[in-house]
Parts: sequence; C-alpha cells; structure tokens
Amino acid sequence: MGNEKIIKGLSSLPFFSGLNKDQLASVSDHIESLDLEPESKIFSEGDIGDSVFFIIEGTLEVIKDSDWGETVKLTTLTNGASFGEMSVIDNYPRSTTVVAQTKAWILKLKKEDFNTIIDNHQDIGLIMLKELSRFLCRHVRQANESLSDFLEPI
Amino acid sequence: MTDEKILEELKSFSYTFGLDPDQLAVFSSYVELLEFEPDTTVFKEGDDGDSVYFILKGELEVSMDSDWGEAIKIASLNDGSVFGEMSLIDELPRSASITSRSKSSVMKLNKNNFETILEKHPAIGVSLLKGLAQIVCQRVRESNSSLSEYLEPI
Repeated sequence: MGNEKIIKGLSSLPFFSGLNKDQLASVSDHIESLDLEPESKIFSEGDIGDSVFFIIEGTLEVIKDSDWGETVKLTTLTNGASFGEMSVIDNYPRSTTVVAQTKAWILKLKKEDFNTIIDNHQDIGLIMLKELSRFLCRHVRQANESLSDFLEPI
Repeated sequence: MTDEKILEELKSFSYTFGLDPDQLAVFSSYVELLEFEPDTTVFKEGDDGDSVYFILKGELEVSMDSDWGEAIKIASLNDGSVFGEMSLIDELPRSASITSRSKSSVMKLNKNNFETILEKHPAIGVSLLKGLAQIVCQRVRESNSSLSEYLEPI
C-alpha cells in the first residue's frame, strides 16, 4: 500500500505532520507527483481550480495580471509551501497564476480525491481539514492586519 | 428555551453544515444559548477565546482597533451568520471585537465541546469543519478584495 517516494515527499511537508505512517500511505494513493521544468505553468488566473499543490523541492512564482494588463510578481514559494488550498473547499476561479522558476517536484491533490479521503478515512479527514482551516485563518489574520491600517474610524 | 426550540432554530444552519436532523439533535446538545441586550460586547479584539458563535436572531457589529487606537467598523452580522470560528480553529486571540447592536440570541459552541464532537461524532465533526473551512475561505476572499481596494497598483 502507498507509494514510497510520495510518502517520503508527504512526510517532509508541515501540512501532513499530524499524520502517521499508515495515514500518509492512505493519502499517497490519491496524490499525483509532478516533475516540472523551469517556466512550466501549473495553472492560470481565471482557471477553474480543482486541486491543492504542495512543493517538495523547487521555487515557484505567483503572478497576477494588473488592470493595465501587465504581469506582476506577487510572491515566491519554495520547499514545504502549499498553494491552491481554497479550491478544494469552494469553487472559485484561480485568482493568480503559478509558474515554476526552477526545476521543481510538486504533489497534487484533487478536490474529488480530497473528498474521497475524508469520506473513507474520517480520522485523516479531520486532521487535514483542521490543518487547512488553520492555514486559511492565517491568511485572514494577515489580510485583516493590513486592512485595519487603511480603514476610517466609525 | 427548550432543547426542541434550540433544535428548531438550528435548522437554519443545516444548509451551511449539511447536518441531517439526527446530527443536528446531537449538535444541539453541545451548544449553549446566549441572549444579549443592545450594545453588549460579546468579546473584544485581543481577548483569548475559543468559542464559535451562531446568530439565531439579531444584529451584531464587527469592529477592529486601528494602530492609532480607534474602533473601526468592519461589518454587520445578522441571522444565520457565524463568527468567532478563527479562534476556535487556531487558538489565537480574537482578531476583532463583536458588539450586539440589537437584542439578540446567539448559539455558542466552545472548544471543549467542539473537540468532543470531533472525537465522538467524527461524521458531524467532518461536516462542521468543512462548513467552517468554507466560512474562512469566504473571509479570505472578502479580506483580499477589501484590501485590493486600498493597495496601490504596482
């Protein structure tokens, strides 16, 4: 059961640190491993998102088109980072484009497989949903922190 | 309010959390009903807190303190809204203050009971966590969208 290479990759990710070896093996059955060449695009702004991605090794760039049609670099992601989390929870188009800067090894988990894991292994589902929620909360807190400096008093 | 009454009121949340009537009955045995008078503070930004709240009836205000100490109104919440879920998930202090502006009745689920549900009723736990994750996703999108209005083009 499980794919050794993917299990090794998963166990290097903070996101999966709450799972034991057997649970990682169950998850690995639903993971797709992707080897990327520099400049290959993972997804584009406006695409319908259906997967979350985890970077085992490599550097990826998050970019966005400005209102003037210029491409703006928002941030760089590297080993251990994840992206596209929200698309396994709700259904909105991608808000950014992600491109590999270097050769990279990333893992992909589709929304439908995420839901299969949750349905078949509630223990794993609870751990992953908790981790995902914590991650999303961090996003909100960071955004609100910046926002409070711009708003007018009541 | 009797348990049946709580159960009846809670049905409005079944859409958000996808709980069936039996699961709602179990869930209702873990929540506490609170009634607030107008202008009552439910909690303040920076407070330690670990409960999530479900508004049955009433209007509540979300506010944050700016860096220069003034209260800034962020949003209004009413019947069917959920708040306080972030501190339940990440155990960090409250990121905003909540004040009841009208008479209101609110359902409270504390962390202990939440963890008990996850442990004893994992199917309900998965639905709850999915629902909460969806709410937090919405918060990320709202915060990002408000923030983008204030940020300068690059």
